[in-house]
Amino acid sequence: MRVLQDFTKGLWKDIPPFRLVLGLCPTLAVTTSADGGLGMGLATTFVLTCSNILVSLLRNLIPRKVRIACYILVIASFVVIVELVMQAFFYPLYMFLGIFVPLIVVNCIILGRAEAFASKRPVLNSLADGLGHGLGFTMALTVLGAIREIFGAGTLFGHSVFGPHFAPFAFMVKPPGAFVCLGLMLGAMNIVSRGRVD
Amino acid sequence: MREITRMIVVLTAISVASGLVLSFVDKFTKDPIEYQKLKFVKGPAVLAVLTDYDNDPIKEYKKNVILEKKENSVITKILFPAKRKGKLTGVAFEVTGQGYHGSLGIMIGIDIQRNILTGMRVMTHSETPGLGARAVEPSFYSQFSGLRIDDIALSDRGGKINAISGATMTSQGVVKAVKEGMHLYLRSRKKMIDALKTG
Repeated sequence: MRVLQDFTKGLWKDIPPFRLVLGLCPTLAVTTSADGGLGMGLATTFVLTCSNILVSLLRNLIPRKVRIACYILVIASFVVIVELVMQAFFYPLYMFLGIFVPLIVVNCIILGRAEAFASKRPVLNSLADGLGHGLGFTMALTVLGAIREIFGAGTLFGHSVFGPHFAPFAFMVKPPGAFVCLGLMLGAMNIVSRGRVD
Repeated sequence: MREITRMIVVLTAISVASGLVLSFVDKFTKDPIEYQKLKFVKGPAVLAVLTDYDNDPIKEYKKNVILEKKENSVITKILFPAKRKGKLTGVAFEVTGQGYHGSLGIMIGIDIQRNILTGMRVMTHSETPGLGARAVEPSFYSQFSGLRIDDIALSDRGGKINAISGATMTSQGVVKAVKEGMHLYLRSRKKMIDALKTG
């Protein structure tokens, strides 16, 4: 069924940020812990899904010449909602993510899916597309965050993994470590995909 | 012309809808946000600047305490009381200063018997890391403990505070804000004590 396909493609075939190479900035910046990756992923998923739905609903009303401005208005509104709700109920996460919460507005995945998909497809498909890509993004960020946290700080979701005598590999939680980890994960995914095709 | 009209109408409609929804969400989240800020941002600072207490200054906070009325403005503060055995010993409140890059959110604690500072913490700032941002380090903020009003000034102006080297503006901003806070306390001491005694 078409809707199911639209949902599952975001989970592997088209997964951001590895296959759909978008949204790299928050990927690198907030994955110093699994919590941070998970939180950012879920926040982005909410905005992506809601904006896809609304853009799809309005797709015949928005004039082509001002479509980007309209999409940004819609996306920014949902980001503010996420920001306020996060501040109200998940303040420690808000303190951790900092400036990257408002930066969700310019996450290319969201504007990209609005322009490439939601503006041309029915609501249910757009919902599936948004949810799929969002959850794929969330999985990617959580795994990346977990890897960096385990080796860079010796913890997972804040709980100690190796015990008190572990010497953390601090490189992992710094920017160069982010790039290296991202590259290794992408390489691993390529090996798995190649195995499947052949 | 029709095309332009349609563009204007659609953009305006989306903006208005957005504004309405967001103001609703803002109203709904205002109180929870205030509590969270209190708990995570101001809370630790409040407990750090007060010294003599066995109560919970954060739980017993008093909002919108009117301290002064001028021609056009009213000064109100959120006050956090320090109590020992039910008796008021100190008070903490926030003051705002002007740093090098932006505003400084500072929490000060005052001993109400001896009218001296019990502590100072810079809670929020946008100062330069390694320079003005060092205002959050113990080597800077510990200088403020135990000071009387006359001591609150930079050492090159007769006070007891050594500025952070390379961050004169930030240091001055903090000192100025803390001094003004102390003056405010001395002027409105009775009002503060009355407000905190009830309940």
